[in-house]
Amino acid sequence: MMICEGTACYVAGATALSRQVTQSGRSDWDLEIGRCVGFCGLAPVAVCDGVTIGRLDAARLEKLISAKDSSDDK
Amino acid sequence: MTSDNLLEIEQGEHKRQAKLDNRILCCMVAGCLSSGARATRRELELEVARQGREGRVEICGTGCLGWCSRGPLVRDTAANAVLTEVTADDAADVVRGRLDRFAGRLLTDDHPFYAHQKRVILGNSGRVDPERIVSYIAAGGYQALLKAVAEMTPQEILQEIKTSRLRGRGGAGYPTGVKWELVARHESPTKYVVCNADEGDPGAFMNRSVLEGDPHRVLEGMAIAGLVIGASQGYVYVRGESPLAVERLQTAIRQAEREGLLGGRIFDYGFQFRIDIRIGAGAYVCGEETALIASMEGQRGQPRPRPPYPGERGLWGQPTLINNVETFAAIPGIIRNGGAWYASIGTPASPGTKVFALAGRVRRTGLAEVPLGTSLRTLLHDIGGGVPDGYQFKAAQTGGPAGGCIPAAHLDAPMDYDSLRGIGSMMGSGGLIVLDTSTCMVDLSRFFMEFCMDESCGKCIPCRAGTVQMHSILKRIVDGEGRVADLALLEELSGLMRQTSLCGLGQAASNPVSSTLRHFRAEYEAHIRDRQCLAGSCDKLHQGVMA
Repeated sequence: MMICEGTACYVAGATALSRQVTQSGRSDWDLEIGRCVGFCGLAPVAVCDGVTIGRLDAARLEKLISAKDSSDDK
Repeated sequence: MTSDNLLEIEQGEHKRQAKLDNRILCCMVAGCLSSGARATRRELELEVARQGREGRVEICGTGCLGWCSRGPLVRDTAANAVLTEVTADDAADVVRGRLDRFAGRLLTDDHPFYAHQKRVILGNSGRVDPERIVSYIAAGGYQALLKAVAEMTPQEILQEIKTSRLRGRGGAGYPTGVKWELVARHESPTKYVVCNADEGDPGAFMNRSVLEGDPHRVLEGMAIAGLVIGASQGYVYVRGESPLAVERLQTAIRQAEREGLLGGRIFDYGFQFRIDIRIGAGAYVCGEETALIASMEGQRGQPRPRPPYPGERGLWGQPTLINNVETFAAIPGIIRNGGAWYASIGTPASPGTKVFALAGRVRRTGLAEVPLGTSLRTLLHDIGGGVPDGYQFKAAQTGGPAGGCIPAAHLDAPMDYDSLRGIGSMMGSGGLIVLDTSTCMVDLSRFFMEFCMDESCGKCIPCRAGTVQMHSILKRIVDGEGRVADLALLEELSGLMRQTSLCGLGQAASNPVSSTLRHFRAEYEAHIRDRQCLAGSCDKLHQGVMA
């Protein structure tokens, strides 16, 4: 999971999103902080398993975290 | 390829397009692709087949249509409109032309987002398929190169560039004609043309969009530069982080070589020009021209003192012309329409158009191209749609980590090289990020200094040690441990780094600090004196309310 912390994403609150991932307790997630992936028009942006996700917010991130959770449980 | 061939291709494509009922062009640039543009395009193609409209309705890709946050974007040629947020479910309606189903999602040229723009560099977006050279030729592509090769002497071309008064779009704004002339003047059998596509500023994605959306325009500009300075080899130095830009460039180069528009004997004249791609590894400092050259030579990407400038001793010690993507992209238009035409756009000291990447707290984010001298207010309010409800404008950040912040008091400032410098910011490559009142300017300075600290190559001490020192001071202010003397110390270090650093990275690293100290000093003082963050974003401090 890569959270972009380029300027546009930073302004849009990306720091809080990376904190959310850190605090989610997902040790199986590899969190990386990016420096502008160039999708600034869609900030804040994350790249999850190679898929770019734009306009990310806390609720959508939470869904991603739990979706990953359930698939890992199987 | 001869001039007749070029005309044949152009007319053939026009004839083919004239037979169509509609051309539907899907934005195939990174922003829309990440919003699902590929799936939309596939469904549109399937839908054309399902409705039996093959040969009548064409689905193809195109360059950036601008409003990235409302992607996937699609241009309907018959209706002369752009449709926003087009999903696979909309495909049947789009192909049928049921545009009444797109209430609120249909943009015509008189929509404020487009009405205030002047699209020159992005002129082919919505018309040309970046993956088909024929499509570019049909839009008048390679005619500037033909004109340059067949009808003009290098001196005449140079004169047009000088008349246009084009200034380098990489950020410094050096007159392009003067630069070309300096390289042209050197007597050397080997010279190089380098396109700097190492777009590293966070918040800037103009160059990548131009390469992805209209690569031939850049290649054509480079070939014309080669003709003027007497080079037969060009390189595009592009970031590895832009794989799609690399792919489109490769396709474009291959197509141009096959058509005899690059390579040996261009248009069957004596002029030869090859272009190859060099992929950078993402170090910010490699956007600096001497570091870029070192990186291309296979050495560590570090700058060296100038002079000698690359125009004199550049790649492999040979005279080298380095220009930004957007500078080269402006060349074909100048040759085709004349330097005077270009100079008539924008302001006398900063002519032409500039592509800005609008991002941050603004309603319409994406790419916008405007004449230089357009006010920040027009860019943000008319084109960008203003700050979304619930937020309040605080400042616009331009120029990335080397730039500065423009507060509300300067909203009517014209966006041109000299005005921006006058209010303590800079044009940079064109990133424009809107900040609202929830952004703490002290933390923003810390954020940019952290970036510069990480990206400092370490060669010269002022930058290597200065960025670390400044970052630690900013960090302690943000953490509520600032000292009264810190502001004077920051100012002293800023001046020192500006005067003594080896390259632009160190010289400009303190710009965000100086600019926020100039316009938002009260925030720094509140952090230090009252242990209070007026923006309410520094969680180790009291949360204040903006006055």
